Amino acid sequence: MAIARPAVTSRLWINVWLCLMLIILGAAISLKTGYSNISWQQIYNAFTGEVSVIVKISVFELRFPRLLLVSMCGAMLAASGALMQSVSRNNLASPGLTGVSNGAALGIVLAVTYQWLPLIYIPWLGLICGLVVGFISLSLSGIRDANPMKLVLSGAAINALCLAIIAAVLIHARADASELLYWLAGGFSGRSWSQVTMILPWFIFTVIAVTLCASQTRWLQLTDEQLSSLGYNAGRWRFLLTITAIAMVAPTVVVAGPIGFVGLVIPHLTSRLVPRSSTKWLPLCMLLGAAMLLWADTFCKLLAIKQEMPVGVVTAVLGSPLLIAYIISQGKTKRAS
Amino acid sequence: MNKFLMITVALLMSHHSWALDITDDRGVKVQLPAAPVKIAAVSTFAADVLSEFGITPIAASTFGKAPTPTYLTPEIAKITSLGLRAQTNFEILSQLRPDATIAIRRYTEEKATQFEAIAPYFAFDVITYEDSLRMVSQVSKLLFQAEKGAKLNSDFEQAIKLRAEKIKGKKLTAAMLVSSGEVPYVYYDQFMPVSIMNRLGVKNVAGENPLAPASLPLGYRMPLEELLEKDPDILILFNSTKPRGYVKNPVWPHLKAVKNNQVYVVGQHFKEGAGPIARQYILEQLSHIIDPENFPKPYVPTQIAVTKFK
Repeated sequence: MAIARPAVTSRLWINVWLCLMLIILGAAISLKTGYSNISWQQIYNAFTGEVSVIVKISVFELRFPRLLLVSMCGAMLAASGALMQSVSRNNLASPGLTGVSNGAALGIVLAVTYQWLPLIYIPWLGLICGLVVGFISLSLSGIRDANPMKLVLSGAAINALCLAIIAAVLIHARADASELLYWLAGGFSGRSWSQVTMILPWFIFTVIAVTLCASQTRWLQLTDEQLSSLGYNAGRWRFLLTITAIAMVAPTVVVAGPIGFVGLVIPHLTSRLVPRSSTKWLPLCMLLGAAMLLWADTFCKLLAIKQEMPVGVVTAVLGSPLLIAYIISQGKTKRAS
Repeated sequence: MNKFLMITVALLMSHHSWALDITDDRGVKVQLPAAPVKIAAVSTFAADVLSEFGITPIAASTFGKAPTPTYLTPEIAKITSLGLRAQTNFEILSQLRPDATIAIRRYTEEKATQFEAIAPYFAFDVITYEDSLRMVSQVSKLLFQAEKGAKLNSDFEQAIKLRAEKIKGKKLTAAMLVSSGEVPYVYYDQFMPVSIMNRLGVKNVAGENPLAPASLPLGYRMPLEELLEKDPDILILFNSTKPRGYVKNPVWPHLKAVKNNQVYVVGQHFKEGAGPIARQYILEQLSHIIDPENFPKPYVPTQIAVTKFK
């Protein structure tokens, strides 16, 4: 059975350029937005010449690393969601599906509340917890044959368990609970180069993985029987790609807290631009994810009255109508057929 | 007949002298049938004001990580803990059978019925400077020592004025930061310790609550860029059991207060400084921080001492 490879059309390149323009424009506005009123000229000078210390620190230590971090996280979340939707053949799958986000969050909440580890090791604990929880979800759904329905159900169960433990820890955390709740809403305020350094290797891993997987995910649109008849070991591929998706999302939770909707909505938006079977679908997901999160974070800064809104709130506000529109359109499509 | 009249008058007078109506900050008139002896303190300010009047509460809420606020008097270490101020243990409270409960309004008002079922319940706001004065005045009335309460308040106000006179002309700015996250939470002018600092002539960079006269929220999460631009001369960090994330940010070493070694960590009493003992300690400690030449290091119990942040 042959699968037709969609031709790379000029429309695709227009979409790619549009995404890149969105990122560049978002990055420029993000660099300009902040508490201090810094002019375009000052921003330019910050990169090329002499400026005041405040401008230099604001641009180089706060705004620039933040926009890099936001873009990387957006791309990773979107790629992770896209992989999970492909693997589970469930268009409502997202990084939260396997419990990775909440698993990583649980690890960090536990470590912060009970001070098990020195501060520098906490991100790594979050990462390990995310991976372990994701692996448990995967094991429950059947390591080798990774049944999509089982994956969704085991993810839901693991998520419920993680959230229940987080709630119990927050009650026990007393005065620190508000701090943790703020972190759990997800956000990039106050993040700098240390978080960029932390996530960079994982971003590189994501780029490599997406490059390698881009041509493989389209096969996963087929049923396991069809794949077997083509000589593919469907279970092995699903397992590997799920692990890859987990490794993409866990580091984002560590640096920014759990951020919803990007991994869920972006694959759908992208599939309106290029078909899911296209090899360009995954890379385009990354670009659009980076653009969405960059704009959401810029909105957080623009809308700040006294303090910034957590970015998780903005992504939910932006993402919910898109998801509802998708559900309605799916319903209409089914009725029409 | 005369004797009967005298007894009646005496009875009426005795009733008048013991039955007392106090209106608390909910606006509820609470009647005390007699002078309370066994009083429960829900939140530290209540234990503080009782200690000042020489009364040891029969129970008190936790103080930070300690079971009770032992910095007030050594006796308080022996009393029963009622747990967190927002989660008072009603089983313990009812077993102790207090004559009255003095509580923080913000965390207890929704459970007023349960408190009232156990004993007369007085709820006070303890956020602002004015709250502190009013609370001390009202509690002193319910302890039948209204004059002492009035004197405590006037002495305190006078002490601030005198210190402010000495400090005059320093033109310093400061910020009081709490939080262990990546972004510090900064208190507004309305918060009691900040009010004291303002009255001593130091400007709080966070300014007034935009929703004033509302006292809530107490402050906001100040972006580090804003902190860098406002660059206060003094930074006062509230104690935290967790390592502070924002001090690891590259912005931190560039702050004037950090460069000049003017970052201080204060005790838990700053979080609830409305009581007469705590507010006096806060006044003395702030005076020393602002003007160490004029105000020597005050004597305070070790657990609430100010330390320099390293």
